[in-house]
Amino acid sequence: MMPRCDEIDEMLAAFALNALDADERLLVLEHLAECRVHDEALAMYRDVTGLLPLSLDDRQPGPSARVSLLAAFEAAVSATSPIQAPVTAHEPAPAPAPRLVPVPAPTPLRRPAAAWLVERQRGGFFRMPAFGYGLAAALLVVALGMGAWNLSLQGDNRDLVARSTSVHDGMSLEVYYLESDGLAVLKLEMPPLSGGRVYQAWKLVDGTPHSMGVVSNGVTGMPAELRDASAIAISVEPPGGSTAPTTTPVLVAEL
Amino acid sequence: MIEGLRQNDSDSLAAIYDTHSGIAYGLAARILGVTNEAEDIVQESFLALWRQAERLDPSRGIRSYLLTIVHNKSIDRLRQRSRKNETSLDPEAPIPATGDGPAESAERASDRESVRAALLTLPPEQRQTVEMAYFGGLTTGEVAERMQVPVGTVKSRLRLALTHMRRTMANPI
Repeated sequence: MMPRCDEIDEMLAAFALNALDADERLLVLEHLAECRVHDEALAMYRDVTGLLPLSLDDRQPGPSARVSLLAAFEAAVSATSPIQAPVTAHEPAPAPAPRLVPVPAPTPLRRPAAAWLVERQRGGFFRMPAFGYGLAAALLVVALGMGAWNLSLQGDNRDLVARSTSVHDGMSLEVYYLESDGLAVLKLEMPPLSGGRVYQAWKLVDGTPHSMGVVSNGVTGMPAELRDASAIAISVEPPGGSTAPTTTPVLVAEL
Repeated sequence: MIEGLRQNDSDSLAAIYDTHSGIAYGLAARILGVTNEAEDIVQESFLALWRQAERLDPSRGIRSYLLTIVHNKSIDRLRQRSRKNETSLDPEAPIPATGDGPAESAERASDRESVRAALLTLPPEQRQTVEMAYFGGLTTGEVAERMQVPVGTVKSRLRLALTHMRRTMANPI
């Protein structure tokens, strides 16, 4: 049962302090995805929380930490831009190797539905959705937008990882991912379906869709591992869902 | 600075590190209590800040983002190992500064005094609850168990504490 606003109010300070367990954190997240009443209070709690470290004395890391960081940074930049020389630091080339493994290159931006599209164009095993929208004729792949965050979730670096807003009919998908908790929250605004059909979410890993389960209009929370996923796609499926997509996705949010 | 990060400028990262490494490491060390681990967390946090540069709101300030990342990563590490730093639960135990960091700005010094003063005005049980939750990495359930109070009481104390601190800092005595 979804918590009431007064119950969320009681949990907000703990939420801002990262002191809720995973279940309660998901409850709050799901609520905040749909309710803006708590924005101001959460912003206040986060402001105060952000100042707590100031109660401590500064403590300087060892001198090698700076060198190690800059070396790891250079390695990561080089890995992401192999043909573009990174801006050279004015620091002398560091002698010690970075303690940490260099940050792996982020997954290059792909068109995750390309394979899906190719199959569709070949008239392959994906059937066209039967409902009478113009959706079947227009794959709604929208590049990740860097627009304004949901204010209530702003500031938590682990939360909003993808937002896809359709240019037709006001459909939208927002994906919130709590990596350390292994939880994902999908906020979906889609037209209702007839005939018992359902919306099903898929995570795309190396172009292959993996089912995340049937999702409802509104907010759905679920355990999820999205670190290797390039996108989340929503398709229309028969009642109960499918083991593999049977229609082209109607909405895709790149991660 | 943020624009420099977005341009993969190592000088920008270095400047941000020089400005904020002390408070970042102080926070990580307070939570984890292990020097090498805390340094690793700090490195990971600065790199995470860079990777998120496109999403940063310049009006918020880098320190806020960075310390959120440091805190989250430190707590995650702590919980993963299922280890609690008992010594960090003593609100009176200072962590001595080591090495020579950059001179603290007047603004930060003022903020520091304001936060410390606000914490001291809290009732002891509220201050201890905040310490255990924020610096100790305990969930409300764990705090409740240790303090032998209902979970609802813990949540209320946290709510009252942060509200009180906000009011105190907005209206210093």
